[in-house]
Amino acid sequence: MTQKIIELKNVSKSFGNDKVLHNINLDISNGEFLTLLGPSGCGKTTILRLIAGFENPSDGEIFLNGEKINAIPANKRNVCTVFQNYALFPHMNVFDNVAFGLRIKNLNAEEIKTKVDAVLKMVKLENFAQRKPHQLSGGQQQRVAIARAVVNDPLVLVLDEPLSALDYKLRKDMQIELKELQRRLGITFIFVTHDQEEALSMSDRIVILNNGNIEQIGSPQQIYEMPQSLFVAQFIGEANVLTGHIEEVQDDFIKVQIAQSCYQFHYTHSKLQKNDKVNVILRPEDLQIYLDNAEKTHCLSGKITNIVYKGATVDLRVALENDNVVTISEFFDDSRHQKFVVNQTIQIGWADGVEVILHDT
Amino acid sequence: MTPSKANWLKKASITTISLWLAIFVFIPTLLVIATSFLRVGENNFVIFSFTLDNYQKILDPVFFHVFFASCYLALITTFVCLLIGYPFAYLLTQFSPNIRRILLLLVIIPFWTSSLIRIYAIKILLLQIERSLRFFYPDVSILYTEMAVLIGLIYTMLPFMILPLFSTMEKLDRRLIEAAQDLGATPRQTFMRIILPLTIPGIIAGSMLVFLPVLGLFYVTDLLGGAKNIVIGNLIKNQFLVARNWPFASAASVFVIILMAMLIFVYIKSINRFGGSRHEKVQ
Amino acid sequence: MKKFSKYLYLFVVFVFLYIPIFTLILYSFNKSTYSVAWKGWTWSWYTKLLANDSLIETAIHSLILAATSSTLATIIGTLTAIAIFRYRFFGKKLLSGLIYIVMMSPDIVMAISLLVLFLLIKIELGFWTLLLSHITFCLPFVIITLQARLSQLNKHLIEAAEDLGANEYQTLRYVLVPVLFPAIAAGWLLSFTLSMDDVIISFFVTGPQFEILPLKIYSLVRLGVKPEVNALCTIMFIFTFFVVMVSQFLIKEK
Ligand SMILES: Nc1ncnc2c1ncn2[C@@H]1O[C@H](COP(=O)(O)OP(=O)(O)OP(=O)(O)O)[C@@H](O)[C@H]1O
Ligand SMILES: [Mg+2]
Repeated sequence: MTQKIIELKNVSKSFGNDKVLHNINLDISNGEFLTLLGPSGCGKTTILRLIAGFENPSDGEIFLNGEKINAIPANKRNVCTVFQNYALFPHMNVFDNVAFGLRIKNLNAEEIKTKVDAVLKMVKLENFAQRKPHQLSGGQQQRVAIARAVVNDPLVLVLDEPLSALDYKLRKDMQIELKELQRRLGITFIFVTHDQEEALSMSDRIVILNNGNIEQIGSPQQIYEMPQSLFVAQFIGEANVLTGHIEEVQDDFIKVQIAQSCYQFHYTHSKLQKNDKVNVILRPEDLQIYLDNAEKTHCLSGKITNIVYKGATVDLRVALENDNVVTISEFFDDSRHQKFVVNQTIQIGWADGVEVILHDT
Repeated sequence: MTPSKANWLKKASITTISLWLAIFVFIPTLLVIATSFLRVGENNFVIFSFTLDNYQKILDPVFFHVFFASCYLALITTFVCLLIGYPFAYLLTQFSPNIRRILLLLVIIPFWTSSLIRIYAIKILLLQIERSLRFFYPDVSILYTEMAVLIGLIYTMLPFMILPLFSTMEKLDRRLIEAAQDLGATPRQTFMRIILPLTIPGIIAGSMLVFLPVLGLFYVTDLLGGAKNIVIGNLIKNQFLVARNWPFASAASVFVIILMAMLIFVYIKSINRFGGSRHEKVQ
Repeated sequence: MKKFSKYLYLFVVFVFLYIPIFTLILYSFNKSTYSVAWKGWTWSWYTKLLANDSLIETAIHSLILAATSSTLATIIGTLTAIAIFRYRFFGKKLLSGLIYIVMMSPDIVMAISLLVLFLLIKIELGFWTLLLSHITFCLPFVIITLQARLSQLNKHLIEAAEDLGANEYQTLRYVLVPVLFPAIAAGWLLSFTLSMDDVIISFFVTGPQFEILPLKIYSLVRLGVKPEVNALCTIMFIFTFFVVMVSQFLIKEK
């Protein structure tokens, strides 16, 4: 792809004896929308603060545009931050907030006015320039925070859960606006969120973090469809995990023993060997229910324990013979789903190739 | 916080305050402690030879009486202030925030007012009362008695007790009281087991703010008391400025410092024991 | 009934707190010179007060002293509170603890200590010794007033300023000082009244050259009850009253 704007090389961070980041290696390309995703306390904020310059790495190197920036303080880095609670200056109006960075750079008043007006227009706040932060709604404050950052033409914009304080509807709108803004500006966005749907829908690439380690980096589709670890599979979306072991390895397929049955999968990677323990990951929407008893290659039988109507879809919880419970998600179809009742025994199957087989470590 | 680049603002602020406290608090305190071990010289000056006489002198009946009486007076003042102030502060917390703010303001105004002026004011009042009472009891005397001193001290120090108590009580989580009642505690039990323990840091802070200054308030005894009613403050003042016995005055001051150290120790213990945040002074 | 007794209790305590002050104010308008008996209304004590040049001079001394010491205490105190809030440094806990101790320590102890210091280094007692002492006892009050405000501050505000390119000084000048302004002003006012009211410490560290109001009042009230003193004390009380009002307003303002 294009040139690297930020590189983290073997970056570690400790607070006292508490090591919160372990050897992080991460390249961020110019102009991309990168999201850091992971459970609370996994180190997302810490990575952002390292990039923005509020923390120093305990170990490793950080590069911005090819230049090592470990020792450069936040106020000298061309990286701007949008804080989670916005951190707008309460004593300044919107205009002055946005103009702050430009005034620090000693730009002349005219230039400042042109730039600030342009940015305020871009975030649709041109009529609010004279208001104080406390006279704005949450969404408006959010946009001031973004305007205040982008007006400085940063190379990288860093956003720590910028949408988490907004209500559901507003958050959806802002997601679209933010994405559009990023495309228009062409600035690299490094974005932190708790919301996996947000991450999937907005990002060019997603970094999944767990306990200060990178679990996987990839496009939303890669992350969702080809999780490289059980953690990623279970963290993103819902995953049915079937445990078993390898019965047989051939050139283009393997056989896996799950409970009492043996299943054959296309598999061409060479990593797996006979008797390895594996997890077979299946997304709920990839599972299907077979009403007839016709023999299929992948077929499990189980009892329906619960049926949850969700509007467009319906979730069925099914207890398998080996006590595993799986969830099946289907588009709701009245005539079809009327036939299902709790405690009914059904057959479940899936199309060839939708499964992900992970070595159980 | 920021990358650890040394910056002059940080250095300047920390250096200034450290030097200031060192020069005007720490060193002077050491000087006083040192002086308390010296002898008085011929010309009212100190002689640099070590002695414990000044501390022995505290035990001398004449002076011991002052120390004892003054601590006793401070103790009674503290106790009465607590007795009046505790229910008062508690009642204040029962009001809606708006009314509470006004009532609190009424406590803060005297808190900020010069205690000298307030002592003078109570002198005028006591004078009036004394005059009125003399119509009926010609022999009655209020002013220049120990009672007058006590009233004056209580009057001056009461806001210093109420404010810290109020700030601890305000922070008290009302749900704890409700929880206690919910679990079947009677009002008495709720008070003894929940409210009282949780407000102990406030009680100690208030007691400290009352007890220690009382020992030094020489103008209260000056204005309201007779010749016999004096506190350590009067003693220090006289020894230092009139008798020119610096070592003894210093020893008396060290005595107060030791009392203070003990009270601070108790306060810190109580905070660790009964939780709660460090008491913040209400302005 | 129970409620009534609560109100009654509050009322009685407030009466106790205020009756003496009201008596004082009332008697500052009393015609009688020597007796405490009420002889009718007059303004004359106030006009006499204003004609008393030496008293006016003393008052000016006090105002100068209070303004200077509270300004310096506010500057040092503000920087200290911000440093304690922002930075990690060696001895930070000790410093915070020491500030509380200085605030708690009784005036008489500080008075003796400072006097011993001044006598030892042989500074002439007067304006300078008063100034240094007043700054010292005002400092902890300023610091604690500011700390209360800083603890409510959005922690990211400082980082936001740095992020936008501001250096230490610019962050202080354009963000922290304006945001903290109400607390800084409240701290200044508190110091100002403390300085205007202090008797004990000033009594020890003052010199004959520089007479100040609280000590003047002290020497006057020792001599007995005088209507002019009543007038003077009334003015001082009303002054404090307004200062409290202003500072409360500043603190409450968001
Ligand atoms: N200043 C600090 N001092 C000590 N520990 C810290 C500090 N900042 C963060 N930590 C610790 O580092 C770990 C990672 O924190 P971080 O804030 O990066 O998590 P996060 O992924 O942003 O979590 P969240 O989603 O809850 O915001 C946590 O265990 C946290 O307790
Ligand atoms: Mg975070």
